[in-house]
Amino acid sequence: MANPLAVKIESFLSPLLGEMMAHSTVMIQCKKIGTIADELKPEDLPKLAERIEKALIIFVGSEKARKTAEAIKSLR
Amino acid sequence: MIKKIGFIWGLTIAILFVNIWVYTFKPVSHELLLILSNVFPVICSFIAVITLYLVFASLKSLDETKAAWLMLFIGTLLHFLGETTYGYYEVIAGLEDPFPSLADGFWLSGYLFLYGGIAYLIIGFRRAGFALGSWKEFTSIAVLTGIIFCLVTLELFIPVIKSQEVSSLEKFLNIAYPIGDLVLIFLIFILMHFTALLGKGVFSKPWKYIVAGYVFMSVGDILFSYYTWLEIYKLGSYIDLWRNAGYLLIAMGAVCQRKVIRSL
Repeated sequence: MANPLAVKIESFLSPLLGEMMAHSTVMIQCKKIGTIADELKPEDLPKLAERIEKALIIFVGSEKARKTAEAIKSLR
Repeated sequence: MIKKIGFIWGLTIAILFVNIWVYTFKPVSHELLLILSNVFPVICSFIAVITLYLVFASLKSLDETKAAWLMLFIGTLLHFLGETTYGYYEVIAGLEDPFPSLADGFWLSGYLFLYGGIAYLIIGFRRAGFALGSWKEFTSIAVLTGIIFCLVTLELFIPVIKSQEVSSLEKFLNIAYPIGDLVLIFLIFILMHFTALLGKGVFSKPWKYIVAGYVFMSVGDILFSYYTWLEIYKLGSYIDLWRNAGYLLIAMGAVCQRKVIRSL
């Protein structure tokens, strides 16, 4: 993964989900919003953050997942 | 919050140390040992109930996560009521081996909520769209559960079914508990697999404790069923430690979960 934005998101998620899962989450969720991690653009962030928010709900509940997604949106 | 984790660790080690010491050296009378062997599970399950409730209360929105922790809380609360009722029958009412009793109703109904809670976590993880691992890993889980099921069937189910010495209700309960534990073990193995995928991420920590806690509880339960069936279970047996440690590990998982939620 060479895209700096994707790397930033992966680094943000790594302490929470672990390195392997953070990497696969970025890859999978990028695919789900119709792009690939290497081509991720700042304008894709809201959609990607929304997808990641849904993924995080099971660990910390909706409210904290939303907060985490907000932090991802500000990673541009 | 780190202090709280340290406190629950300290409490767990202290309770288990006293428990092991009392069971090993038996420095008390038979009557006191009877009281202590009933009090330890009540204390341990009570700690688990309180910590699980705190997780439930710390989740603001009513979503599948809150539902999962609510079910784990209710399931453990019912097990706490089972431990308390059993203790009451043995210690206060003076009944020797109160089986079957109301306590069995609490314990068995508790399983349903525990299944619900763990199933919610598994379904939530699946829905989240994470990588789930290969079919080989799921096959391994099925094979491992199958092997345990075969062992329990050979050693416990068949002798119980064939027996003509016990009533139909006792037969039912002697089979219902291990089946309840086997289903729990199967669900826990799946959760354990997902937890392993999360590696060292902080989100995996509470699940690791929860998984370990339910494994300890289930193994302790199956051993208890086996030993009581063979009539070799004795007061102050180390088998009790599995269940007590299980409750405390679940409590540690709940404390960890609350810490994760509050840290974001």
